[in-house]
Amino acid sequence: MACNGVVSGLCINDSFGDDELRAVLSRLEDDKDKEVFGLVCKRWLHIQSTERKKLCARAGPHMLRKIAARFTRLHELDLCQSVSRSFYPGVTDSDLSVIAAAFSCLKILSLQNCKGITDNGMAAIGSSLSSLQSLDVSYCRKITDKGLSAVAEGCRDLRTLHLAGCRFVSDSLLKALSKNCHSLEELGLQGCTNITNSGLSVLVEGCRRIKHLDINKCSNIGDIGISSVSKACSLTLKTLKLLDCYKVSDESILSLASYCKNLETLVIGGCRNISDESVKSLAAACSNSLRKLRMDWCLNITDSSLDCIISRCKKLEVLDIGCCEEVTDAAFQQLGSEDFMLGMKILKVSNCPKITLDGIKKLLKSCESLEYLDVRSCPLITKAGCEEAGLEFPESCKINFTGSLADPEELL
Amino acid sequence: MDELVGPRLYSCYKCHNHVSLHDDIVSKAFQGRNGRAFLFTHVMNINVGAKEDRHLMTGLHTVADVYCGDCNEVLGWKYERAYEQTQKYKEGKFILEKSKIVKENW
Repeated sequence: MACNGVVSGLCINDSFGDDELRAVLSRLEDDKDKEVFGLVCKRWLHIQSTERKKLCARAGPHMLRKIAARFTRLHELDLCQSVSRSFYPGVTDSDLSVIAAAFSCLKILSLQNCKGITDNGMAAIGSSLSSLQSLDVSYCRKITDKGLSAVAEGCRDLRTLHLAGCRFVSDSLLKALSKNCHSLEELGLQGCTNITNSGLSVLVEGCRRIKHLDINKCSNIGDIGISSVSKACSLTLKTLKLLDCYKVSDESILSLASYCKNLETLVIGGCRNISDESVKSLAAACSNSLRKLRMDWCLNITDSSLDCIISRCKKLEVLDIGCCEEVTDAAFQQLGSEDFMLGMKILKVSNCPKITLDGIKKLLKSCESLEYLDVRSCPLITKAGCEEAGLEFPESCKINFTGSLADPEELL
Repeated sequence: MDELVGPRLYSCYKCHNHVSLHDDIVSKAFQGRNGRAFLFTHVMNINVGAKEDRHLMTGLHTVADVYCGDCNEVLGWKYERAYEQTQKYKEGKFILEKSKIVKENW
């Protein structure tokens, strides 16, 4: 090397091919070093740029074209905007045309809150980005079935699709997904209130490998749709979110208990027609898999099903029974007994007026991993009362007595 | 000669921080804690407090108090979630009490 004062006469750029230079680049760990690599000469800049797989940016059309020209082998592009009125006009359809034309290897594209984009932008994506596996257009409110069907037809390897807040989405898109995207694993339809049971049934005819399905707030969905999903995706379904789907009843839960033994996360908050019997069946069927259960506002739930859940679901980490007003300390009776340990991390019992310090005492005995406890609006559980009773909470545990703490992410 | 220039704004009664537009009113027929209140689709320059499940006259709701962004006065609340189907239309909207807001120059 040059430090000996010996100049060998060989130029690195002549001796090393691109493969060797890429091998050198891959051994650089520090981002700063990788940037410096790109400063050596145009050839090294090209190698560094085309090696880049992931980029997160906020860019207008001019900058976007420059990015497209430089980083041609990007796999992942994040252009998410913020919820509030962000920079105007934000990402536009013409920007998406640039992206579609330039980033042919793109696998992951995030456009959350890019409120300006329309079906035209989606059509551009569908016509060019055939390798796309993950698309997030949550809260891109102008998008309809037309644009998204174009994506489904063009991006047949789609695995993840997030459409929360795209309120024009309807059964027609579910049909297009069923026809074209058989590898679909994750689908987010929160707030897509137009979808119906028949749409879901058609969806799972083609998409039989769904792992995560979010249909929170899709209030038209009922037992017929959920039963289709549980039968078709029985081996793969891990997450099902049905917040405020008030038509869902015991029939759906029994169907899940029969078919979906791998269910890990279930959100049935606000599903007021669900009663103890079906929840007990679910506890038995998913005793080895269930980790998160949210059933706040399920006013018919009583101690008997909760006792079942607690005693059978050994892997339970998150439980929300807020406003289940019939629940008493008896729900926790298993927890008080010797050697019964539960790895519960997050428990929400807000607005359960019958729960007393006694119940909390039993809870603390068996749940040493507790990180968050919400006891808002439980008149018999106060900070002063807990201190007086000498209750000892785990060291890092946060307790929400009056609502001053924000709920952790895991609760939704 | 007095022309109306710009949107009709409401401000916090205490510090005159701009909080809402007249155009964003859905209804003027609501009852707040201390009298009449308006339902808005949007408010601005405010802070939203912690969520609480409460039994209101119209049923079970999750609400969060809304505070002026500058002086922290409670101006009303936000409807986060509604149990009754007939009340779902309120989700995501804001109540500002008439006694806590003033018209800004109109």
